[in-house]
Amino acid sequence: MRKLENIETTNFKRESKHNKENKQRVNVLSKIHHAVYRMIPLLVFVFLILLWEFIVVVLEIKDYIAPRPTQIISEFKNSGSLLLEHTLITVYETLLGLCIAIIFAIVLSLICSKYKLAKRVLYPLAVVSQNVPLMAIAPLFIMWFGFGILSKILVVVLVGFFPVLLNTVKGLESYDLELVDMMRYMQASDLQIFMKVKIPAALPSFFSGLKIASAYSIMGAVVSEWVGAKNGLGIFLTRSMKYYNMPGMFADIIVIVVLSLMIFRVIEFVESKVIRWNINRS
Amino acid sequence: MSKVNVNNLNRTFKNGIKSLEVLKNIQFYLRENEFVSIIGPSGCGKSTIFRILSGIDKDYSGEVLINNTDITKHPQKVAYLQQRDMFMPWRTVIENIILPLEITGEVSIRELRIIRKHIKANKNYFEAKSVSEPLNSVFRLINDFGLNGFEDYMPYELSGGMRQRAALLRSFIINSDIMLLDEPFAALDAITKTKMQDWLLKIWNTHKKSVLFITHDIDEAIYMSDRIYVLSERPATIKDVINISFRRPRNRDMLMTQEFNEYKGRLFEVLLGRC
Repeated sequence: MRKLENIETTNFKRESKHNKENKQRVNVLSKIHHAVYRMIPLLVFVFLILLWEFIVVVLEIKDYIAPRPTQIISEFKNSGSLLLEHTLITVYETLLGLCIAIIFAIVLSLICSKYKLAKRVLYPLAVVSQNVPLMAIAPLFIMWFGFGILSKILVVVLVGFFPVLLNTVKGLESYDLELVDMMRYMQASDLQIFMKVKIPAALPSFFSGLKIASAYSIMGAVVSEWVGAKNGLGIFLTRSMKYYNMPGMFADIIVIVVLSLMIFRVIEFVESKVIRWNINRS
Repeated sequence: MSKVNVNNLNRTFKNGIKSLEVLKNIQFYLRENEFVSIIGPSGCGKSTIFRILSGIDKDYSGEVLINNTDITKHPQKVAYLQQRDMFMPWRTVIENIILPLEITGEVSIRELRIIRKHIKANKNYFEAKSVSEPLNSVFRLINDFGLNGFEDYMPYELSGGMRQRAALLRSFIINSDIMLLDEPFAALDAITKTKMQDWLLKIWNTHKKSVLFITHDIDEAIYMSDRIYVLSERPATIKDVINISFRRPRNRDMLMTQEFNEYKGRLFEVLLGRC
């Protein structure tokens, strides 16, 4: 130790090298610290699952009350292909329904922003359609359109289009009046004003509407399957329930949550590509 | 030759039964290559004059001639700079600047984006590829306006002075030799403001434009203008017209002269009604 000190005080070069090493060590430490910090939510999650496993084993809780996480994992292994089959149906219904809802909502909001009368006529209808509970609409649609996927898609369309419509109409009205004045004295046409001012101004609220719709849409699909269907995550859930298959129910719930997150993430990704400007600073 | 000629201009805002008289019997003119200021208290209706001249506000009475043409019959293009810089937050600086050319169809934003991409990848792109003439002239002006290297920034990333220059360049590109500048330097600090005034005079001198300039800064008005119109409180009427006889090019020493102080004293007297 003393030797090291000697070398350090006598040899400046060595000293600086030593410092450099020290700095590097600090750098690595801060990197590890940063990585751990970012992992905290995941670590908490893992900890909770382990705690769950531990409690169920120690307190000898019965399977049909609360399954162990490991049982849920093995449920994924055992009936994975069956679950996948049901999942694909639900995904199909959700995505198709959501796409139709978006197109429908965009067309309607364009009409609403162009013709004030259309807005007055359509708005109350849209609001009423949202206030009928999903649990009442779903059976009705099944009676009308059968147990197939059509009734589910229509339910998704119904719950998905409203948030997009509402937010897009709001967005299309949120443009800067002075910006339109500027376009006017530059002798821009109405179409140019619409394309270059109103549409970009509407995009942020369009995307916030879309995110709400994505959360609603998967819920709409599952609930309407729950009421009556041939295939889908909702029907898998009811069947698991009837057979007291708790691991199956949990597996189903996990799939639904993951699907919801995935759709949300995709929309967020598209949003970040389309909206490159910083909304808070402009 | 007179570029702008306003006679007996009146404007009253009506809101239900309430009515607010803003402009009353306004009369002024702007000749070719002149720099004319309009000065007056805040909220007296200075901006309304510009809104009428630019064709946004059509609800006036009186005669407004631009290039000897009545603007109610044939709206005339003017390079108007609004009080707020009015950038589209979703566009980069250069994309904002070319907006007037995009509206007339001379430049497409797709073309611009492709060129910007190439320039980012290869600095010598200009020499290698021919860029369309309107766009090329914009790139040349970018230099004059001191925006070199900031083309691909977002507007909120620029400093106040730079934003103002970019906004001015956007108006500059409008194909018109008449510029209407509405308090362009009001939001700037004293030092930046001083620099920008000299810079604007230089630009005005090299590019030969006729400028109408709204301000509420007395020193600025005297330093910049050939003629100053003084407006009263609402309803705005023209209280006084002052011809400034300083020689051009102007320099800062003129601000220290007896003559300058006489102008200043007279403006204070007219604006405040006492001295």
